[in-house]
Amino acid sequence: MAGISLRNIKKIYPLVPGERKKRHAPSDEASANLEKTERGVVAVQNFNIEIKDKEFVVLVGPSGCGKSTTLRMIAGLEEITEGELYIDNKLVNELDPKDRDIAMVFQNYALYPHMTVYDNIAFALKKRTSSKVEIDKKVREAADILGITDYLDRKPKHLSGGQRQRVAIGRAIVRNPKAMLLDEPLSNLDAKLRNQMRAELIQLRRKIDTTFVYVTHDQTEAMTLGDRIVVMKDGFIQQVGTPQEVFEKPTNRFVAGFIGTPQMNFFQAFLQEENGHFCVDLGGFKVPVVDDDNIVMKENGVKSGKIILGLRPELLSLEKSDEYPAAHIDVVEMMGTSVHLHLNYNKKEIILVTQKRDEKHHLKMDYENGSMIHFSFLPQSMYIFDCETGKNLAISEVSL
Amino acid sequence: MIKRKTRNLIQDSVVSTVAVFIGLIIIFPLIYCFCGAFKTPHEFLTPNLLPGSFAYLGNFIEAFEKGNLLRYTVNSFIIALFGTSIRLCFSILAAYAFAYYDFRFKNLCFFLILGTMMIPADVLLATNYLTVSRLRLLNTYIGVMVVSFVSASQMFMLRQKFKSVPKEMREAAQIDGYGDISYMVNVLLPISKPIITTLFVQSFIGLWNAYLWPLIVTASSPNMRTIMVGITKLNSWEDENYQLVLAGVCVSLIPSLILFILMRRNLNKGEMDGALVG
Amino acid sequence: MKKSLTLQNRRRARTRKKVFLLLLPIIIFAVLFVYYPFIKTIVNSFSLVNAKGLIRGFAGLDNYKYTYGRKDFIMALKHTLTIAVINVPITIIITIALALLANKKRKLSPVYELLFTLPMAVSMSAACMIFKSMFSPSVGFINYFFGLKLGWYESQETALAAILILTIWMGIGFNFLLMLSALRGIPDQIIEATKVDGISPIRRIFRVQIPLISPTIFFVLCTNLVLSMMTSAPMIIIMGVSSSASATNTLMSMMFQSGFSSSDYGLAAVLSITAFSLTLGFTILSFVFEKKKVHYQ
Repeated sequence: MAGISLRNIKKIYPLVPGERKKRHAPSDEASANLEKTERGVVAVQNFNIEIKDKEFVVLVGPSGCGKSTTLRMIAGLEEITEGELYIDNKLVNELDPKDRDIAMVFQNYALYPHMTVYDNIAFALKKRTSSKVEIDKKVREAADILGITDYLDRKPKHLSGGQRQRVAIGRAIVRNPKAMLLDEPLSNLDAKLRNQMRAELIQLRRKIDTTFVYVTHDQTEAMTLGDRIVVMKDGFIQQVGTPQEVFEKPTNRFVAGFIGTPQMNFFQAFLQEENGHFCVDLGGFKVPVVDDDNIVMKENGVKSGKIILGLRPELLSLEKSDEYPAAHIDVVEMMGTSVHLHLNYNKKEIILVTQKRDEKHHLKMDYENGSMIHFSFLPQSMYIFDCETGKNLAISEVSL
Repeated sequence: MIKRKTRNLIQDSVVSTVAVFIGLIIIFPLIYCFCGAFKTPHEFLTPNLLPGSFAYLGNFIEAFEKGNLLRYTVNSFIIALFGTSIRLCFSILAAYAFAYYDFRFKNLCFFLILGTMMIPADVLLATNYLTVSRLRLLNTYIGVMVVSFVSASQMFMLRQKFKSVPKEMREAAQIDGYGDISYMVNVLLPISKPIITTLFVQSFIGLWNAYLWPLIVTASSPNMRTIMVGITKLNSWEDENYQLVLAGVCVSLIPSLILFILMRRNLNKGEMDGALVG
Repeated sequence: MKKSLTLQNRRRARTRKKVFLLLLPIIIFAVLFVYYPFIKTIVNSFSLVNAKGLIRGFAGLDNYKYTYGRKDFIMALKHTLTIAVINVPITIIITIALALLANKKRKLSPVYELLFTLPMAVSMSAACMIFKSMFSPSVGFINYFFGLKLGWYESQETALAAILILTIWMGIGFNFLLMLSALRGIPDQIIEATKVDGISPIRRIFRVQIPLISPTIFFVLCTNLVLSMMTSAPMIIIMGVSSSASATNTLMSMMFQSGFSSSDYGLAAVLSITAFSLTLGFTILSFVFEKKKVHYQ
């Protein structure tokens, strides 16, 4: 139970052969965008975050963004090239993993196949206490919290994926570590199990009162589990914030596109100024910018010109009139209560999500492939991004 | 019309019978040996295959007394057991280094060890004899074992197996505070039990069966001979008491054959368990 | 700003020490009992070596010239090559035939598979003694069964024949295993395709199965060539090491004789190196084919 601080953390994988085998470095495709210096490939840089005690922080991003590398640096499994790492206010850069008092749950659980569940969990304790009574007590406590007391005598190969997961977590919590590090623990489960385990993890969180650092590439997990999310890309932090903050106020186009399902729609649009007030022109359809955003954008010194307009699929509404932008229906996805319309707008695919039934519970119009529809959106729904930098122009530069 | 199923069954039965028959022909020398060991000297001169009775143990008794067979068996056993253990131990240590660590001369060392597979051992007999002689290890157990301590193929297979164990297992143990040796003992070796057992049995049979090297190392000390050398001394051109020889051969074959059959059984069973476990 | 290098350096130093200790045993013995003797033997073959094994002078190629001119060397070489050339093809044919027979898994498979591989577990000396007794002119089974009156080990040709039978027998077990696993490694779908296409079994064997296991066949070819060139034990055990028995020598048994009977270490070295050179090419090739057969799938 302790806070973790990462200050200016940087990780470079040296390109010099013989020191490190290439398999430690991220795959070539993912690492194509990483900065390459003469010293090597920079996997993580400028990483700064203060994690509070008992906070649940999620590192999320696509493959190769550096999230696992960062987690492993916290654990001590990777060396920190530059920067300082503090656990519980102690500088731990030089410490071995076993001295950092952290516990880790791996993606493929890493359970010892030849030991029973009991022995797997007890294994970690054997090096810390020699009292069999104490070990037994702690193992049973952990098993109880996770609901695996019935399996203590079984070996991993006789357990289901979800059960093995719990044993892996049990092995970690039994030591009462200062922080729990989880590396994509749900990635190996099928979709249904993943949802189930996610719910269980949320419950577990309440029972186990400690700091969590959780790595995943799935933004749904990040949104549901985390107190705060850290969105990463190409070794840099893109944004840190609560799930709400990251969803409602993404700092750049990447974060906006990464968080939220289905993905946000992006349009090429124009920013115009009329009477000192910005408005967005999408193919002739003009929508004024919200007042607050307008002020911020003026402060930021934004000029009119080309911009990228972001609109979430759920916030597009269907219209009948000609004055609204038109698009053709490519695919209709019936998703239970809602309908996902894949539309062709100016040869680009956008998605519009709407409910099947309206407020009066009548079935809304029939959607036919190829037919044309119109859509519109409210000013509050707009996200305005710079064409080159991708930055959200409505977020104050000062606060970044 | 005969059904396909029945046709296959008949075909299989015929082929199986033929195969077993051929198999018996192939192992005929072993059958011959086994029968011969129980024949009296007189029976041996007759052309019958089977001995009068399988209860005649005279040959065995004579082989053990006159031929000092018991001592040879003990020698062979000690050499096979300790030689195999040490060989396996060295291979495990080296395989661990190559599987888990990166270091400067890694490739060089690896090919250095692998290179020993290119040189047939017989080519080195003479010089090794001189070396062992100078180390005063002639006529000792160690002298016989010492050339068998390096097995590049064992090390190679162990390295494959170790590399197939997920890296996370080592890291999990690391976080729990386990160093290399305790990780090896508590996790890695138990996981690798099948292949280690196979290699152990293979090595044991190999060392048990060795002839040429033990012959020259123990040449001047009959007491230290291994059983494989001993059985060749049971007879000479003048004294053609083959039934004695065959009795000795039978004794020498027992461990190898039993271990071999057990290993085959395990292999056949192992094919089912081959599926990977999480 | 190289602040965090101490952990790195510490780790690297620890790694170096650990690796050193882990590799030390195997490398010491590899150098001492494989590389050192190998180089020494090469050196010996170019030197004058006394009966105690000490080098007394440089001999250049004289040892080789002298050895290659000797009648008994030429005979030993002839015998060695004869064994290699006859043993290997016969072994391959026999074991392929056995493997084809055993390919399909039937109820009695464990039985006859075990029978086919059993010669593998028999030691060289045990096999020699059994065969010596079987081929004995007076009480041996072979003469009786085939109605012959041959003094097998008394004449050169028949002795070689008997020894060939012995070495072929010894090789059946291991090579059968290799061929069988190679045959079983052919994807079922290919065999099923031939059945659907109506290809006769004989054609299937020669046009499909054998070509598909050719890497293994080459591997077996090379390995067996190497092994048969190193044949020495049957000569030593059955024929004996006296000079009168040298009529059936192979290269390596002659080496054994000169090294351990007559203490002529120079000659022994020359013979060892000669035998080694003959096998070197095949050893390398066998590695090549082993890789091919592993990646074949």
